[in-house]
Amino acid sequence: MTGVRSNITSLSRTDAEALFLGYAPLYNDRRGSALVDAPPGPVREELYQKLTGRTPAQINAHWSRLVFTGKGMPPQEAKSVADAKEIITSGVNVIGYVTKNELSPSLRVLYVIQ
Amino acid sequence: MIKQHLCLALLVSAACNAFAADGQYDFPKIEVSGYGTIGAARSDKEDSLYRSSTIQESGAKKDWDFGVDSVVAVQLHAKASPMLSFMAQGVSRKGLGDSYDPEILWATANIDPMPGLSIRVGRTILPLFSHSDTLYLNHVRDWIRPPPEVYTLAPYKNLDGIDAVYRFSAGSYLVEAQSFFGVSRLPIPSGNADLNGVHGIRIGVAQDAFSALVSYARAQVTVGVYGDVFDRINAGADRAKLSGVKEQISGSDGVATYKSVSFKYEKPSFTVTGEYARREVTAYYGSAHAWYMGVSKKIGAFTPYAYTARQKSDSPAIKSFTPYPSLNASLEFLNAARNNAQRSTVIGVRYDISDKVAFKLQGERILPDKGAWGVFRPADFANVTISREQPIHVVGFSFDFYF
Repeated sequence: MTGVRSNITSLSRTDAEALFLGYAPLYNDRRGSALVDAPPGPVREELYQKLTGRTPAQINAHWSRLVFTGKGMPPQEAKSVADAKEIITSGVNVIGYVTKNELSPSLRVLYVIQ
Repeated sequence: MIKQHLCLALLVSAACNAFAADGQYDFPKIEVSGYGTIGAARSDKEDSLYRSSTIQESGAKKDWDFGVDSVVAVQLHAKASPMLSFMAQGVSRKGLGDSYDPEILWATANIDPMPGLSIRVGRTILPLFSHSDTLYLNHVRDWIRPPPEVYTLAPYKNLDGIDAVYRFSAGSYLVEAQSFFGVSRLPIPSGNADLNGVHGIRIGVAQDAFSALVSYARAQVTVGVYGDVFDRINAGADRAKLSGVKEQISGSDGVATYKSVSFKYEKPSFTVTGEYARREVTAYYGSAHAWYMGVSKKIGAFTPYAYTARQKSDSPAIKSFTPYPSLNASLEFLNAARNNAQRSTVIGVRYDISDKVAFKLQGERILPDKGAWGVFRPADFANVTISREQPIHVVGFSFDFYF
């Protein structure tokens, strides 16, 4: 489940929070990354609640501020969990999240949120 | 409560260059989005007009007025390559001359040389205060509108020039640093009030529930005026052979500095926020400072809120008067018109109808300072009653949405 030539092997909690709030984490090689969100629902809500401490409404307001001031675009929204896995595995440097029971050998775990 | 354990998962499927992350997208990629507010307000006075911006020439009286807060905006974002994108936002809102003509609020070419850094050229944002870049984006706030006490200090909407925004994380802090340079044009009733050579910086820091913003900007102020009041003052000054009167009203020698510090403490169940801002101007306008402090409580889909706000004049626009009472009366009139000092107490409730639509109901008690119009405008210039230290009550409702 490891990408063959990636320099990114782990993600700190701060990096993960920064990524999903539209900030650039200080990667050593400053490589870009693309993000994928689960569809609106309990998995997405739990991710943001645990990672950023924010509610869906607060996250929506946060991204609206960035989008409508030209400072950033929100993560690509997957249609389903399967779609999220497909986007992660078929893209390059794509970071997303799944529940533990959705893990598969094609995915590398960067950080576990308990 | 869900007890699933989540994992963040990453897969790197091939060797990639620095920006191959966007390789999954086809370029050009074009996205259309927008937002708006349908709102109405009314007051308990027939002789003064309640406005949300001092460039509006009409406002709410005792009848419901849909022009105070209503706005619609459409944004086009086109990504030509991973490093180059274009953005334009058109807005229709009641402005100068009560016109709803759409205007280009922002239109920029964005260059992103590295992750987190964006350089924007064109008509961009003038972020003098905390809410300056989201002035019309009302759904991101609990309140119907940003507190006029702070936002009448600088009614500028945009900046023709260049800015750079760098968003990054440093330790446990999330940082947004922004610097900007350019000119800002502002047509106002009976003239224009432009900022030239604007240069400034804004730093935002966030950690967990707490975030703070500090901003500083400096500019040359150019004010041009026309109309009956100014003609009367100019003619009177010429007749009396008085020097220095016209120079206090208009010219291009003013220097303005804008400073602001704000904070927000945002938990899932409540929010506390506040801002202190100051405008110092050497000519044409007075110096003033303003602040607000607000609290919101989240109860399901309802968010009741309250805030109090104050703007106080530090120095009048026109500082020296003449031996002629009638000329002085015109100068006092102008001083009051350029003085937005007032205090407000506001309560309201927000109801989130869906993720993208919110309803707000708000009531406020506003007391303009003596010798100031506050955010109001007289219904009849021959009978100005605003500055008589009578509170004015305003109620409003709005539907905010985005797509």
